[in-house]
Amino acid sequence: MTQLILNRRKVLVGLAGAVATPYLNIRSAAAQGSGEVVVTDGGGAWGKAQKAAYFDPFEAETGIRVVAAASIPNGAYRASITAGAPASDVTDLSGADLGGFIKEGLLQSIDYDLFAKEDRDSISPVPAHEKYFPSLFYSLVMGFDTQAYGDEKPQTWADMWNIEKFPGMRTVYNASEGPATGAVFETALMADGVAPADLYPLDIKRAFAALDKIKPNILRYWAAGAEPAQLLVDGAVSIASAWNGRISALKSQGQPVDLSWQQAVLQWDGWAVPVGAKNTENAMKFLAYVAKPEAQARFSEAIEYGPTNARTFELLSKERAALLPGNPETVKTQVVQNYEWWNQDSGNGKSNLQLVNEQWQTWIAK
Amino acid sequence: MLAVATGGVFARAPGNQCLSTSLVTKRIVAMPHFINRAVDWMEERPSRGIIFPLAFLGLLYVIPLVGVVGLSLFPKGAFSFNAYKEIFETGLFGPAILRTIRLSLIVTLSTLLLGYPFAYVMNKAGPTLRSLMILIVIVPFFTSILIRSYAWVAILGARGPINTLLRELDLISAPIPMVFNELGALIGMIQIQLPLMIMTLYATMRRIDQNLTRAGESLGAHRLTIFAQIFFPLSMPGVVSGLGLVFTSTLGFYVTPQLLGSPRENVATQSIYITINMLGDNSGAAAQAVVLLVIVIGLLVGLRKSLGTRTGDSENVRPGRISKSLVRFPAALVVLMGRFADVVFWIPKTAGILVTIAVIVILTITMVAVIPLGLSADNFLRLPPSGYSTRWIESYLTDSEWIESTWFSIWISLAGAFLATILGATAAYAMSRWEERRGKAWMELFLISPMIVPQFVIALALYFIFIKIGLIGNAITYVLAYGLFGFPYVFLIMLAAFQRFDIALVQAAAILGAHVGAIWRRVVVPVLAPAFLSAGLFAFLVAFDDLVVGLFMSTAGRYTLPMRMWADIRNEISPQIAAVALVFLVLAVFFALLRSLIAALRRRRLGRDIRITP
Repeated sequence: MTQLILNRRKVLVGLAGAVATPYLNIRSAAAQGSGEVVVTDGGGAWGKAQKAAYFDPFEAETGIRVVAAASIPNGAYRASITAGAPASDVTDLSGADLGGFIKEGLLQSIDYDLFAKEDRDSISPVPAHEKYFPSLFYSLVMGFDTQAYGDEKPQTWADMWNIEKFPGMRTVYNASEGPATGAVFETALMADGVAPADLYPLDIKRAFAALDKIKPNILRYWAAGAEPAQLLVDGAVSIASAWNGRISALKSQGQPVDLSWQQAVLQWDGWAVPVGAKNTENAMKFLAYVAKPEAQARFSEAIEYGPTNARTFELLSKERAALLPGNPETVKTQVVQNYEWWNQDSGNGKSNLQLVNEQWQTWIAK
Repeated sequence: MLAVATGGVFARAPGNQCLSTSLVTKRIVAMPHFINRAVDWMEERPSRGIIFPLAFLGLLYVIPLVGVVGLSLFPKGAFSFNAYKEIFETGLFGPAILRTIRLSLIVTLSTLLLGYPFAYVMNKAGPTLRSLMILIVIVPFFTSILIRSYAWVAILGARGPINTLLRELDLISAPIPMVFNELGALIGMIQIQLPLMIMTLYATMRRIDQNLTRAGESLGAHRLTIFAQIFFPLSMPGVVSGLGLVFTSTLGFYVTPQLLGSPRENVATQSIYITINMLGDNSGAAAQAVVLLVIVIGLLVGLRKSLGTRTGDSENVRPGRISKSLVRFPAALVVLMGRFADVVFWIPKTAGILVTIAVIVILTITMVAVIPLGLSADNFLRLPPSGYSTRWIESYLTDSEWIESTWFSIWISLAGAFLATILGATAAYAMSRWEERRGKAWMELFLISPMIVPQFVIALALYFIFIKIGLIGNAITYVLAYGLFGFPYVFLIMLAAFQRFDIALVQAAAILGAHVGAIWRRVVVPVLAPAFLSAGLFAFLVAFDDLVVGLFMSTAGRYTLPMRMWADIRNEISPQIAAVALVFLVLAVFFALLRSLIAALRRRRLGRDIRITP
């Protein structure tokens, strides 16, 4: 019954849209390069960097108003697309989440004709994709309390797992909110001796066995990026898996923390345009703009996220570049997370993401 | 109260009352016929006014919840029980539900053990101490649940004041983990639920006829016997109702377990959230929500007798119902103990006072912690801070995004509270004039149920509906949701007010020819102004503190203040949100002082001969 009413409603809305569309087109054609584009911003310092590096300059250059939209949970965003009214025209999704959105047909193909050819070609080490465009790099690194240990500091994931040599509490990501997000399984396997090159396909069983070993020393399974940083400053934990920007921000404030780039897991987000976006044309223009090295350089100056356009490093100082994930130096010691594997079917209709999520919830409750 | 109130009405303008009545009559004449008939129909039986709140609840509460049930049964457009089968097969939700029930039980019993002595002391206290204690119970409402959780992290943390103190006293060598585990989640939830338990107990205790205990005293009963045989049995309805209210409403908690607990102890709402966000499985989430909903509704129906409001109904405070053997046992014991009973009496009395002090500390500590945190000079959360400055307050007041969110939150909460007040007051008026006994308890239960059915489930249900009809992104979604969430609070407060209200006033106005609108505007609202104000304030605070609706309804450019705080907690470790909380705390104190100042001035104006009871 409800279903029926809602369907009729949808038809009505669709009809109204069909009637109105020609008029809307005339309007936007008359005022080319105007109108607006709604972009999901990351909030906090990230949102501020996006505004300064991308939103404001794009608006000034093109006259297209950028409306920053609150970042909402993926479930809500997904539902807004299926309902035909996406919450924004451009969004930023993690590399792991993109796979699911693409599989469900929720994303539009990106119009690369609007891009400068050299911009599109210099997107590395993760290339530009038909349905998304890499937006930034970040790293899951090992952070530690420098006061907790003497001259010999922990350097690798094996050190984090070595409770005898490096005593103290730990914090790792809560994989209930996304098994790939905090690279819990990749780090556990590297701690257990798997070479970075041989990680995929992940041996999940072995990873859980490795996690069993440090489980008694895990104080907190963190969910928000700010948490491991706070826990280190509090002295509640001595070693944490954390995102690089959090730790280096504390370090630059003179806090007794440091991080290791060894075996750091390189992760990335992508810009995407949802199906049904109201301002698709402006959204594509926006993407072409954020692909430019000048814009990305402004962004990476403002926040410690790595640029996706490799030519950006030519515009950044050596000191700044050294801090950024994906820079030509540290990228050699890093592992690029394989989101493709995470989104593959695990054999029973569920993706590896979904299957491991269930296993994790069982494991963690034990 | 009534003497004051009626005095106020008649003192105000006896002269122009007739004038406005005649104006109203003229306007009615000009109205179309069918409206007149509808008004007549309503006036014939005032309880018929219930149709407005019922229509609202039907559209925004019943239909969305039915929609969630539908979604769970039509996973891919076709009917199937797969979503429910999945719940059993993965075997994750079952343990989460059991855990949720266990945690809710612990919270409920703890609030009873802590709340009973407090309510008892409050009931016995003189007027000044009593209003002070009421203030302490209400105070937590002025700091949002988010900020309270955040303050708990600082208070209970490894380098927090409690662990530091214990370490300096050499009582412990390593910090005790009090947060990010079950204990942390429990402490947070107990603090949030304590006021609900205390107010429920206190409401019952106040209705206990003091002559009964006095009679016991004059007949020579020991104080221990009086408490065990008279007071405690008479307070039982409050205990049962408090247990029911706290238990059912704890089942739907999300924010506190998420921020203070551990994923090792995920509760039902967290499981629902993971299912919808990480797994993108709306039907699965809906099925889990339905399971939670069925449990809550089952409990509601089972407990309907004790949950009903039934104020003014004296039966429930009659001692006859209580099992005799239970009551006689301590009395016999007291006789056996003889003089020793005085010593025994001292133990519960001291324990009661200690518990009362503990409750005061629990209720106020997070608010107190906000003051140094908000004035911190540090870049991150540290209690006590290494230095003090107003930098975070300045950064709040000068950041256009924070201020924008603040105004947005204020206006949607005001609009939501306004809607809730109108509907809640209408429902309370109708129920207070509801004459049939049958069905009354059920109706009251239904009207307060939005307070008990997990907000999380309601928000999810509203979200699915709003998105289907394309309302998402419109501020009206917040106003409607807040109207719904504030409704039961307004209803309860206004119902109590109408029960003390002399309905003859309305009848007198009606005989003099006043139209329904005029009666409300010129009689009901002015007489009950304080109740309207506190009901509206409660509805406002419920809305202003909301995060759950925000999590689902936020879209382009619409960021509520709690949503921004939530994002800030997740993204930054700065004391920024404590500074925001401090600003609001100062405002709340300012308005509270202003209010008592106005009240004092009014009291003086009304003269000394009229006795005022709160």
